[in-house]
Amino acid sequence: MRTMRLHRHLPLPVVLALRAHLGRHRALSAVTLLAIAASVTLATGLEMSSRSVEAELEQTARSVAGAAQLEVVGGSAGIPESLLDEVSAAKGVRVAVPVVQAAFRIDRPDAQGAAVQVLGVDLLTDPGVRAYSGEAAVEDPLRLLSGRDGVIVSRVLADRLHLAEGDALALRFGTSPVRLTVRGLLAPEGLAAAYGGQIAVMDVYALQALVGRSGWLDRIDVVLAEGAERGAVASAIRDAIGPRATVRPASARDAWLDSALLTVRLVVATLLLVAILVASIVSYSALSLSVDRRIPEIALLRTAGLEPRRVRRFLYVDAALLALVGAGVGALLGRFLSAGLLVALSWIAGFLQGVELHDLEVHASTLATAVLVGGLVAFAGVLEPARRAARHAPLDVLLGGAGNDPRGTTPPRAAILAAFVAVVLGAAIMLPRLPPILRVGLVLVAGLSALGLLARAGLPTLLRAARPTLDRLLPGLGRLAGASLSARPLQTTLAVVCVGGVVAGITLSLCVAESATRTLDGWMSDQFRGGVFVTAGPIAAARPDAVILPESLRAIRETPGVRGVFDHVGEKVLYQGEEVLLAGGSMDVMARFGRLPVLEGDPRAVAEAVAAGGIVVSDRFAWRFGVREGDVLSLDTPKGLRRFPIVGRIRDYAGPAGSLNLDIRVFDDLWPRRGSRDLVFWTEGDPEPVIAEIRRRVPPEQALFFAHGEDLSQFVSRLLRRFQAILASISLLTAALGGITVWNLMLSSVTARTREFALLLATGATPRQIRALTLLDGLLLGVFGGSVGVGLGLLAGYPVVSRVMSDALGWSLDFAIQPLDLAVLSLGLLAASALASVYPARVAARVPMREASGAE
Amino acid sequence: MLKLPLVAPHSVGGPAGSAAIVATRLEKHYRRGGAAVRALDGVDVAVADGEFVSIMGPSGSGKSTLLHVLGGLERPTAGSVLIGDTDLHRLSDDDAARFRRRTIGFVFQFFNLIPTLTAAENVALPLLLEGRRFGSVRHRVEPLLELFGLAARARHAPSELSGGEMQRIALARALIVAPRVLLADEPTGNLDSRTGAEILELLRRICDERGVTVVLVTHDLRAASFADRVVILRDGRIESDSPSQRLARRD
Repeated sequence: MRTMRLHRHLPLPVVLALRAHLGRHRALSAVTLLAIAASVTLATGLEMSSRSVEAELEQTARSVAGAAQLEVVGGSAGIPESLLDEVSAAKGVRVAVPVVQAAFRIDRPDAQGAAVQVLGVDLLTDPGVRAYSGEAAVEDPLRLLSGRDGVIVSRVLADRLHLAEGDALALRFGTSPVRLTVRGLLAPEGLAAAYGGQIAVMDVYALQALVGRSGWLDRIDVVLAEGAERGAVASAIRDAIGPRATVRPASARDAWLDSALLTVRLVVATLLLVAILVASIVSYSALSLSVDRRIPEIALLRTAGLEPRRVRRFLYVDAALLALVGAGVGALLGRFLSAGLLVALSWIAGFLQGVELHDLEVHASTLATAVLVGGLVAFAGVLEPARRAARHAPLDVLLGGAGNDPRGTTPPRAAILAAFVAVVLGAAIMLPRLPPILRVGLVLVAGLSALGLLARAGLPTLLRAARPTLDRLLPGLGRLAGASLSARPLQTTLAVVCVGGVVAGITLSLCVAESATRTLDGWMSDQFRGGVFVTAGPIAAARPDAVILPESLRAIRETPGVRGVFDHVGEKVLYQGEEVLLAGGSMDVMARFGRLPVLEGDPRAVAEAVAAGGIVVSDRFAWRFGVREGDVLSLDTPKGLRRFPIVGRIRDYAGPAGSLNLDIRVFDDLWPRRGSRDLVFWTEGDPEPVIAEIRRRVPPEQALFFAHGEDLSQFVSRLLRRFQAILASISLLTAALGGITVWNLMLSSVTARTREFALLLATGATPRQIRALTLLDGLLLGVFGGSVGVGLGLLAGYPVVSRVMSDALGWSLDFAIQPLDLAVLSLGLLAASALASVYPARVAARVPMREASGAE
Repeated sequence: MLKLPLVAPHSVGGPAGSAAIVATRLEKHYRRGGAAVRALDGVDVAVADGEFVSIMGPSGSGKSTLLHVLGGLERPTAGSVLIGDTDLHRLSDDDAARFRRRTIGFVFQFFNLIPTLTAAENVALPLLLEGRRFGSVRHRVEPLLELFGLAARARHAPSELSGGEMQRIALARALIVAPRVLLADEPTGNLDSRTGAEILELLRRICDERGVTVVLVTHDLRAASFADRVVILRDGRIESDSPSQRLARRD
């Protein structure tokens, strides 16, 4: 009855699709539906959560910038507060306000270390720049100034922490505990709406004292007088303060917003891309098999007068139905997932940890995302099978040729693909000023296309050439090897691209990881050979605000057995508008005990030249700004322009713009610092008793972490551990993808070769031989895909290690690869290929022999 | 005209007059949809060594099923099949496969050549499945191809051969191991009448000159006339079993 009703009310494609999905092919339809729903869930979840995070970031940018049109900055090192009067007095300046900003962590078990941004401002003048509205405190700033620990918190934060006026707010700065007193509350608008409400305001001078930056500001925000022209005012300020700081439009600060948004969008795009890719491959695998099994039905429809293009349309209707259902289910689940994703994205955005964002709403864009992703996954899965189904000659199928795929009817478009590869590769190599990520992307696209080309053109030739050898190695079976791969040329190409791409990606990552490990390992141990490395936080995980205090440094210097201490500090300064690392170190100690990683010349002589007032620049800095040894470098400092002769170039890993390295005494003369970022000391004899003595001598609130000898190698490993964890996750995911592809190809080939296997069995092949044959084909696919993948990965690895890493991170690495890693990768791939072929092999060995005669 | 050696290169038959195939009370039941189908319903048949038997019957009579059961391609629901002294369906899957490989040759309507192997490799297939290398069996393949007039097509892929050529390759493949029994399921069903006649002639000569026992399933009365004996099936039972001359006269 139901069937009759369906016939009356629905078009034939829908009736057939529903019967296929709800009937004989329901398992495969369920798999496809699951893939679509999962990708739509992730996509809609990401859409809702990232929209919320982006809105929060933009709100924060607007609230913090306020009405400021210009700002005076000096990198993370800051600027002297004495500049404030000079800036205020410059022509065209209506108001200039000082700002110090520091990130604290809430020191309460229920807050899980959530971040709080504390803004130090002059509350008498700051309302001229930023919008404040609240109770008590701002109307009466003197209350805030009356105590050094007074702070105004946003009402949102107060509500989260159940704070009222007069309560204590327990925070940590670095490792140091800080207790502040709540003196007022800010209504959740204007400045208080920034950082999701995780914001507090206090007197600028009190905050300076709290974070050890007395006399120094992070920036001065400037509001122009009415009618004043921004360029003219900036020039006036520059004339007034000279080269002691940089004047720039306040909008330049939005770079951090762009950077945070870019990070969020990059993570979202990557997750989405991976999800769509995985789901598409799963959907393709399931739909491909489903279509294979429906070939006789399709042939019957063709014989009854259905045109090939309508066969495709029938199958597109199938996919559209699945997409529609999957999108609906996925959108519903996405709403639940978005809350979890929001927490993750907030963490990734950097400063929204612990912030409760509530703006999770289903918009029209959410539904559009669901339909788009669902449709994309479903159609990516059905396009090739539909094309294949439409090309089957109906009579061949009905008269017994159902198992034979129409091979070789489309001429390979090798020439077009080769030209495409050449153009993309050429663009990747030749185009100047291409962002590194895009360059890598183009190389990958070219590489994957080349893999496809190689698979399409090279694999059949290779198989033909290999057959005599395989025949010798595996008597009897060798000549039949590779038949499954020839049976489905397009799917074989896809599988090779997938497996090869996976292996190339892993090989490339192995190259980068090994090169980075070896280079950094050598760099660390060579530079500080025999020394003990000391930091104020866990090594490789110490936060920038964790410093070694001056009294601790003094205690270390005075500890018996310590021969020399290399005191080290680093801050970001602006050089020609770019942030570069400015490092100061005890170069006399380095000359005596360490080894400066110079690229040319005698390390000791270079260190002595720096100690005498010179500067060494990193290779990255020299390349970026076109300077060399012998040049004189002019540097804006808080005390005016200073000139330093460049006495050498060193290798370091400071970042894309590189580093400048001075003697610590020169640094201290020009810039402020709370303490040492890290230090290295050398001892007479065994360092352990000395370390024990240092622990006894330093103040109890000072956390110190020591590393020497083997520890230093472990330090490098720890640096790379996060990278390796990501690498391992990607490898697992991609190995699963490769496995799915091999599984799909083999199963599809077995379906296509049913009669062939039946014939082999009828002719006397044992089920074991059929299983071995199918497994052999899976392994051949793994070996071919793996070999070209390793080759491509190594080919791409060299430029990535030597050029891209340098462009993107400023890391000059020596290319290295661990053969053992490649061996493990190859074995893993062979195991995955064999595993993926086990089920198809069982199916092949169980083909009924009566199929050989074409009988039902 | 194809020429076969007048004397078989090696004797494959059993003692003169002995039975090559003895099938006893064969039953084969299927379930199709909700209904039970009795494809074979107590079939008893024996084929002597060197005999050429044709099995005929309307569609659905069970003739292909009988051939499959006789060749070990399907297991009967009940009954037994002896090929010589071997009870085919008491063998394990692997032993049955080995037995088929060495003793039984098959020819099907749709030729069924392996598309990725050359003509010569297709002929050598049962030997390759024995674990022999192609190089070591070439000396057995080439004379067969020569005999079937296909020497020039040895390196060709199946897709490059005509229907008649493909069926001759299939026949050569069936003969490469010098089987005791050759089972043919509508071998001319997909060929034009002239090529079909050539194939039937070939089967007859294989039986006469090599002493191979041939069982042919066909719809075609003319094809059946090449046999010594015609067995007619209807609804899974033997309706008649008589020498083919009688049938030919009736025709």
